[in-house]
Amino acid sequence: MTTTTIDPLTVLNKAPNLILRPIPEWGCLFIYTPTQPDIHCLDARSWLLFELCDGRPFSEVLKEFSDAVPEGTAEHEVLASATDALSTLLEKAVIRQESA
Amino acid sequence: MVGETVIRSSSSGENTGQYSESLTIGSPFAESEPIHQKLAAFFSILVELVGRDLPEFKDVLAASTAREPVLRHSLETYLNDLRRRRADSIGRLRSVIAGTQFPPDPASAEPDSRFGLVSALPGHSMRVLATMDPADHWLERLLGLFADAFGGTEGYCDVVPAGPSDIAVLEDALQIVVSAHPSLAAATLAHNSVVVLVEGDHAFESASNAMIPHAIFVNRTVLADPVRVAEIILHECVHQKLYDLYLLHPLLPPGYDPDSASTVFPPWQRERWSYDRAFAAAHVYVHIAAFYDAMLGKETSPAIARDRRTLAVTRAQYLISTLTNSPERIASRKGQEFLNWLEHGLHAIEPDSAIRGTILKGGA
Repeated sequence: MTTTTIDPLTVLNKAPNLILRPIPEWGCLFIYTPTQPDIHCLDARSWLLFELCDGRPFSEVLKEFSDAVPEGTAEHEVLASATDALSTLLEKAVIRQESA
Repeated sequence: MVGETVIRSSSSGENTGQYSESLTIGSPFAESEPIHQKLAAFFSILVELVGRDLPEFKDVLAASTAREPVLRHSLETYLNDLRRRRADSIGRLRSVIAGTQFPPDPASAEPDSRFGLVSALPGHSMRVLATMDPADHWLERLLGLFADAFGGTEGYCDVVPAGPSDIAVLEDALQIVVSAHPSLAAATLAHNSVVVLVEGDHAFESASNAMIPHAIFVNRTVLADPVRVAEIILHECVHQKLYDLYLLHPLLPPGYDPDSASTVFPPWQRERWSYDRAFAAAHVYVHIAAFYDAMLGKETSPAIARDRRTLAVTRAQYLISTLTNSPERIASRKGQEFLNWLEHGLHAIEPDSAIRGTILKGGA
């Protein structure tokens, strides 16, 4: 698990000009990222977080994501899981961040 | 259904054998259909990208992509070129596609005079190379890949066309796999599209190479024994399945380099194996063990089945237990899941607790 942190006010957006291929029946989304050319396969967790990156700040992404995780999941686990997945999406240029 | 042992019965209710489905159902590494759906999505992205520059070939690309060896190789090369930002990638792809007649999709029984057709699964056929026309661009490309993948083989290991009797043996061999273990056949055979025979003084018994996805190469001399051919085809199809899985899952750590990776020295080998080679061999041996294990469950099984099962189980156990503590396994979460899945499948075949203890020793 990464130790990267994301500022709660950081605004998260999808990167532009992505090519998407959703396969809902198998819970995965394939994405082509033109700025760092490659094809990535997102699992259901990363796919949900990707969809939440619509211009809202990380704090709101986290709140929505928390509602989707299994009941009883510890808050620090939710934060770590979301931060880990979003950091990977940022690193692969699937999403981009803007300071508020 | 995961891990269940299935007792198969004939229409009269007679017990005709048993087999474990741990390897073939209930894991992202198991069933072929979801893997193929994901590959279709993966390659449809590349087709869209290529179609922007080569719109005249969009139909060709859409018809033959993930499961055709030459075009798939070219598209994988194109993606690697994109990753490295090489400028000449589209030109090289154009030169491959232009004037090339690609074989029909394995889901189609459409005839192609260059190939014999062998079929064992509903909706899936393998093409067996049966004619070699020097003017055939597809064949020229395939032979080029063969030479690149297997080195200077001319005169030592040559591609040869299959005759009707060769094709009949291959068909029988596929039926043996299906008959022994239907779900194992469905989970593996569908990952190959083309069978090519080879001959020569130094020809290998069989081979696959990641450079030539969905094509397997079999020495004509082994065709005398259908059970042996069945094992060989299964072996190579399992390799092909792993090439498919590598595209979809990070089974090896980021930046994996076989030259600097940890190695395994199997006692039955004369040389050390890189991590990825041992990883692939473990995948094969577990499936071979499942195949012969299922054969033993039949009322009539070949004499070699017990020995071949024991050999495969022993080698799979050795490889899985050795790989368990490697840094590469620890560095790839998906790789760990994959090895755990193999271990679970092996345990369903050989539930010896002492052996299992060895396998788990030091594992996560």
